Amino acid sequence: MTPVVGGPAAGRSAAESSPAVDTTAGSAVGGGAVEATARLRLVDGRLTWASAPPIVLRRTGHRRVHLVAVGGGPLGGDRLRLEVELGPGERLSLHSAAATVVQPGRDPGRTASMAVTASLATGSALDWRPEPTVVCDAAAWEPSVRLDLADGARARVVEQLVLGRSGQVGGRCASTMRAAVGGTPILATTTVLDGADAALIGLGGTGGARSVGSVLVVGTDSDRCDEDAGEDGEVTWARSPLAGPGALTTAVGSTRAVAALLAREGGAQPPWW
Amino acid sequence: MSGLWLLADSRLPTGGHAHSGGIEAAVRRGLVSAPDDVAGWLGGRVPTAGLVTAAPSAAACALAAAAPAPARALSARGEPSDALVDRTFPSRTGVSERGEESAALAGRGFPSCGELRSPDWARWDAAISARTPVAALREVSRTQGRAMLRTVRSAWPDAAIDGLGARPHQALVLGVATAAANGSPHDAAALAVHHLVGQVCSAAVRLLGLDPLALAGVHARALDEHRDVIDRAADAGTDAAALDDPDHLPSATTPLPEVLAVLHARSEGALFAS
Repeated sequence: MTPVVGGPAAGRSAAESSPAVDTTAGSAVGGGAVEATARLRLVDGRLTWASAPPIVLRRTGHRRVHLVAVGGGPLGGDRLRLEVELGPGERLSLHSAAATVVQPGRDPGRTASMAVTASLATGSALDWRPEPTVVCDAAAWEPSVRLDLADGARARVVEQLVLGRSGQVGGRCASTMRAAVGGTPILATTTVLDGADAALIGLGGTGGARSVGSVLVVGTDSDRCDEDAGEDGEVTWARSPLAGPGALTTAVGSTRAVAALLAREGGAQPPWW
Repeated sequence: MSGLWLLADSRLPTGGHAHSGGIEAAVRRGLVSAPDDVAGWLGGRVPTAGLVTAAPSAAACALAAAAPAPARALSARGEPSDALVDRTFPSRTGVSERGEESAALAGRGFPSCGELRSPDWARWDAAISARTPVAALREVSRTQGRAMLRTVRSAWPDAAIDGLGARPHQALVLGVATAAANGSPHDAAALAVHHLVGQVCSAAVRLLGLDPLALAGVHARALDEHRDVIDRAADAGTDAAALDDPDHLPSATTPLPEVLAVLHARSEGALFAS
């Protein structure tokens, strides 16, 4: 395991009005790729964060933070991390300012990754709702979201993946979602997509669809956890309760129809609580 | 060894004939019409859903091979293991999550017996549930697991089924049965993939009237082309068992079949349960 070189710990007492931005935090890991860890912490009503280019965080409102991507990545080989910690009873709405476009970089086939980990204390709530991610031809992308909820915490994650820019078939993607409540894992799933793989773009994969969306809701009092499903030719979707408090909605279809479904099923407007 | 032939037989009374490996939902939407379509479905599912069910089968086989036989375990407790299981984990049918509850109880309920300790099946059972986000498929897995458990009790009275609970996931029971039949974790993984492929192929014949000979070819080629999936499942399961950590089990899936599984469970008039 390569040691992660990142920004200063967000846990240090950076005042809310003066975020700790360390522009040296991203470090080269060969082939022009970068390795960076950004951190975000909301405890006792104090929001502190440490950006790590290419991940730059910006406070955009009360209990609201945006990821502002810089540098035109991710590119193959990039290893990005975002660590989120919410104290008891804290609520945070987390967004990205623009769509993420994953490109192969100089070495096609090298995997880029973005790992979001969130530790949520009792009574806290996280709403993570990034803009869509486009996986370009020849790119390989491994995003992951790991939620560690104390009893009484809640989280919602709304994500959309798009295979390829206009005119492209799209690259490879393995998107992992893991959630544990009170230390007990209730979800561990990795959705595998590859626009250039006949089997994965076929019937047993996406059925020819270029976009996949998901709404993950975890925690106590999670609303809309009952089973439901629908299909209309543009999007095929289903919501199913997890083996614990929560539900996962999956939608497969055209980019526009999946986005519309996520807006409906994931709640169009934050904050979700 | 001969017990493995029984475990590979599609006539094994575990209810597998009532499931289509998910392909009925695709057939009913007009997405499947030829043997090549069936092969395409398998090409997406075997390396993902197949891997995810084969790996815990391999892990369960490795764990069971290292576990005490009930005959030895019961002497430590002084009562027949079946009675213990039945009393502690009364059969509760109808709601899948109840099976998970009883399995969780099972894991906590068994005291350590030193070297004779049973595997902590509840953690493995929970790991499979976490890797099966579709509730309808968790229910299918438990229904088949329960049926297979009955078969295992009859065929291999010494199988290490202590603590599995009344409605364990099928992958765990298959692994335990494979160990009881003196099979390896690799055998367990191969059996899991074989049954997934067999369900899909035989369902395609029944639903579409496709040529059984052509589908036998699809079945054979799928097993051959995906040998690496079986190898990877065996390795992952064996490693996870050695580490005693179900967190190491693979978790891959593909989206459309997962969505179709929910639509299928909610539909009426289906020939297959899944």
